[in-house]
Amino acid sequence: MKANTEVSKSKSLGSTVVIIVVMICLALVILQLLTSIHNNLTF
Amino acid sequence: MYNHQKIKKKRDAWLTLIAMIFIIAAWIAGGLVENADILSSVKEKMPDIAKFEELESSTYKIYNAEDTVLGYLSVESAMGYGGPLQIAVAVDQDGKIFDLAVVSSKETPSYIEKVLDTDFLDDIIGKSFTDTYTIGVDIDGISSATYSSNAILEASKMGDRYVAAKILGFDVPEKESPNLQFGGAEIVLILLFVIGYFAHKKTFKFKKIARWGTMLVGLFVLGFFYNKPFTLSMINQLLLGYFPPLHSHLYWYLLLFGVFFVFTVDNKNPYCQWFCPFGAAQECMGLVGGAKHRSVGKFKNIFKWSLRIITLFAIIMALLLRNPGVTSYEIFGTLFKLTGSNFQFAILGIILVASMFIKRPWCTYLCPLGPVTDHFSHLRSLVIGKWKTSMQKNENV
Repeated sequence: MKANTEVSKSKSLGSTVVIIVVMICLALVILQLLTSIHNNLTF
Repeated sequence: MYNHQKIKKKRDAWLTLIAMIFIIAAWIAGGLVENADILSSVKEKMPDIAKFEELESSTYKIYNAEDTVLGYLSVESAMGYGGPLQIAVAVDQDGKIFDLAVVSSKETPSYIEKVLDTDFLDDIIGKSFTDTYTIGVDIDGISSATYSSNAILEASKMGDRYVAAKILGFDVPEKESPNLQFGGAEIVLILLFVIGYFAHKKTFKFKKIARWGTMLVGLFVLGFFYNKPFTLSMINQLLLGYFPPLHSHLYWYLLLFGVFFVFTVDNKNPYCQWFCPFGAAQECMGLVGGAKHRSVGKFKNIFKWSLRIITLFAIIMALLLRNPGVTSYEIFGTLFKLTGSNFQFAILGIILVASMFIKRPWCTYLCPLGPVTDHFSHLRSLVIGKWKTSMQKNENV
């Protein structure tokens, strides 16, 4: 029972880390897109 | 459950059509807002020119502030990596180039900056219509921006030859017809397609070995050696109708039409799973850290739709700005040629580390080619579905 809880906790932590990493990357992708569009408009 | 799937299928079909409508609208709007004022851009980049007298379309007699004739200006365009590059070429009375400027560019900004940061334009200045303009012979090439530098060179040569022959009346030697560039990259690509196509079939025994073989060849040959991965810029180019010359861009045609041909016939994308260089790089990192698929629960759908919206936005903006490379945010060049913005290097760092623990994080959550192939797959099933229905109706009649 305890072992199962530990596994479940570790899985949940893993998912949270993945979610945070993907969110950061998505934000960086959006910033890259906007910067690139801005640079193009001012070239 | 059946009902739920039916509703989902119908919703996907509608969204596919709506996305198509947005893309077509952006394409039309982009065409309406194009037509930038070329001369004001030339004036900004060639401040010595005070007056232009139009002789023919895109050809001008140019004067300085004292009303002295400086020479002639021809605005020519040649196909770069992301689309046409417009070059203003100023030619003197002897048919020699004395000034040069990039008037408009559809290249990925980091690539064009790479060219402009070197002496490449200065090397072309002074060349005459009698010169060969050959990279490696009379001009130093730029290995990390080959297509852009070739396009600048080609447009400069065209402008100089045009002024020398048509305006100055020189006897210009005939231009040699270009040879089809069929080399290592093209051969490797064809082989990878053939192996990927046959080896992905269920009956193939050595699937795992073949897949790792194609992935490693993709990584080192298409990635590190040639830096020619499949990018969103190619899709944008296709949508904009910026078809590069076949003789110099055979690889572009093989890759793009190879992917869509296999997809149409087989509904399988051989590129991503079998020889995408960046996919292979992530899987290699995954071997180090034992990466696996990790569930993100309800966020799976949120991420999927976020990526679809970002990709649609990227395509729409590329069509509106008539610039295929501008929204190509991928980090392939960042890894293989160390070219990119700070944001791209940050994403690359995070992705490479994450790849050790998550299976192909870029492909799963961030690659814009995923939604593009999804969209193509939806369109394919819509067309096949309609065709089957009409065939059944005909049989019943």
